[in-house]
Amino acid sequence: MKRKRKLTQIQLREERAGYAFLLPSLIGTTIFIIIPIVMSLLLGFTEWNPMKGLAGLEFVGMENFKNIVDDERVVSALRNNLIYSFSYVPLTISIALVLATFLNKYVFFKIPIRMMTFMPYISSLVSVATVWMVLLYPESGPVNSILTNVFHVADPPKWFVSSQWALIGIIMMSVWHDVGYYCIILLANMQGLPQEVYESAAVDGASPIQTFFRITIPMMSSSLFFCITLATINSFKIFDQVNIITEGGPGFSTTVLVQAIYYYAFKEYKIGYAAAVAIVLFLVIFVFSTILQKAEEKLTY
Amino acid sequence: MKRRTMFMLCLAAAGALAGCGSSADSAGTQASADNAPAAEASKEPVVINYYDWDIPDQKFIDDFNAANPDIKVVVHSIPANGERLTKLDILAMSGGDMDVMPISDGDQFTRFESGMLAPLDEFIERDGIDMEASFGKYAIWGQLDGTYYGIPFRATQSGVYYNKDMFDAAGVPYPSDDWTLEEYIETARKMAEWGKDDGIYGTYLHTYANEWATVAAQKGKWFTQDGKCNIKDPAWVKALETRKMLDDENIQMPYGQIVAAKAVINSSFLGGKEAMANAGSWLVRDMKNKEKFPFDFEVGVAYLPRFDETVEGPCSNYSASVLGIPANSQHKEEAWRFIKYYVEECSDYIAASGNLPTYLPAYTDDIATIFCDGSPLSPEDGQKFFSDSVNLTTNKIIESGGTEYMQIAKEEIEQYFNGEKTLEETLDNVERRVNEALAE
Repeated sequence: MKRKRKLTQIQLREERAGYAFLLPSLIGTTIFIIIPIVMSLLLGFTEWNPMKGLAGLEFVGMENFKNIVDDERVVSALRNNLIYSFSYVPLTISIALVLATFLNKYVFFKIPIRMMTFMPYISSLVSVATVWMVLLYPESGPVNSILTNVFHVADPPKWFVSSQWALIGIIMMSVWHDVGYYCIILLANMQGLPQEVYESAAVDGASPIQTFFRITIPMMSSSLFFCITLATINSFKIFDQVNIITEGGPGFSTTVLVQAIYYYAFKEYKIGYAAAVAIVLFLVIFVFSTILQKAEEKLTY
Repeated sequence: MKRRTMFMLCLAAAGALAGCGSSADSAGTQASADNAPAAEASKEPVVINYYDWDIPDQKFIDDFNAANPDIKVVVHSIPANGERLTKLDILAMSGGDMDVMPISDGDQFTRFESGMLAPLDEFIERDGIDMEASFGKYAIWGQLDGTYYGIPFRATQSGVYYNKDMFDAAGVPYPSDDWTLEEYIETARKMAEWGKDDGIYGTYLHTYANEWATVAAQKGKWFTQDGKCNIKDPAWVKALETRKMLDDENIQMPYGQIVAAKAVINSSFLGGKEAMANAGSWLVRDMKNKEKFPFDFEVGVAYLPRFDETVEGPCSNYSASVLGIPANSQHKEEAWRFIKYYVEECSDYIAASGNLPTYLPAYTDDIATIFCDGSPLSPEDGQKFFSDSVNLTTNKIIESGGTEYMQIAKEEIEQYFNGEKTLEETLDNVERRVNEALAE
């Protein structure tokens, strides 16, 4: 009896010590992460113009969410976000995978080429966006000059000035920028794959394509899923390139959710409404990452 | 034992960390609370923080500080980019220490409405300032529903600037001071014809919200009698069609190209890419900056063309920026004294920096000379910005809801200029969206 109590006391003390060690970082997390998250959740149900101070805060219930449904800016933002993610993620991951395969095997000057694929990722998105604006300049830009003079396209796309092409331009730019990053992750994984499996496949007479689809991809499924999840979440957070290149235009053709949040919060000062849009963005990301997680549990080895 | 000491140490460390914020805070408030009476006793100067992106000359601030030992004005220069207003808004809302802030050309009214700025009527009444007599046509830019929240201090007035060297080379007569929109189009067309082999456009009109409306504003009305959107006013329709026509004929840089190339008026016109340019009086400021814009030709300026024969000339488009005091400033009295000094006594400094001062009693005979000095404009041309016989209208929508109206119009109209929507579709969309926004 006595012995038992002593033990719990020690355990208690150890537990206390544990919490004491946790305390500093816990305080930081609470102040800088948990409180802001709770605050912005609550703000989504209010109408608040911060210019009037706290007196301007008014609880409006579901009003903001009702307004979102008829809001052209948010609805087009959601549509653009989905188009963007559904093209950006498959393109980036498949190109990265193909690149990684070639870099792993078939290429001379591996190191310089690996560096070149990674280069866009380490350059700042702001400068990359500016360079792409010049490349895709509608009148006599390099890309359009090649299209008209080499391929004899009579009416080349106007890229960032046209509502049909602006989002495509942004997708192209983002894929080019991020492919190197995912390529490096996949390449690292590919280099660690056991060689015996490939050897026995070669003995059995498997073609390179069979090897790729039947051996490489299944063996890499967990890191592929990691890349897909990461790319999906990042793709929903797209903002920088849009804000620099098109500011959401022409019309609403490139408006995305984060940009709508920024617009409502810092151009119109509708903080409550912006928070409501942020909640929508959170829900979208939450749904997609849950689906991906469930798929991962089923599909990986 | 050892473990207990460790635990106590950890607790103490954590407590110190956690307490850090609050204890520093209370120390801070204590210090400032102690400071206030101490300042009065020892005459420590009150610090007034003034933020702006266009500061004429540090000298006028030094003069003010020397003449007013109880106030110390500290100037904070912010970059003059598109985010400048957001930066100032956040400073004003976050209860920062900003005491004097500028708000430019039509952006002030939503801010007056929101209660971001302190009303100034009390100060104006106490100091016996006759706003109408002092600021004339600029006075309306500082008020909302009869209450003043800002004092106009810097104005923009448009003109058509022309490159005299190009007109001489082309043998086309300079724009006259009394010309119509038709004559403007003809002149632009001739200059574009002359310059087309060198890639020189006839004229330039920027992509700012409502910039296409500067001339049409002489006749157009933004709202119908019953307060609805009036974007289908024939004047606006003609203005939109004119821009589109000039774009399509390559007489001026097309709208989409300006957006794609992020072109700006000053480096484009001063870089010799156009024979004429529609620009505000601030182009004079840029022409004085020879380091940034090294150009080598003579420049003249004409009034804006008249919309049609029924409009009396000469005409121009104008707007004004104001100085205001954020509602949460701690030193409103001192801030007001600085604003009063700035507006009433620094007109020459403002003019010398290439901006238009708004305080009419300071409009002396030399002010146009001071304004043009250092730029290629002759004082006679400069006088056009100070003449009181000009018929001034504005392309900005300064009525309630104007900011949203202009934003919607910009978003929809750019699709018409880029050739993606017809004029009818565009006007229908603007009308629908503006009326929806007004109904809210």
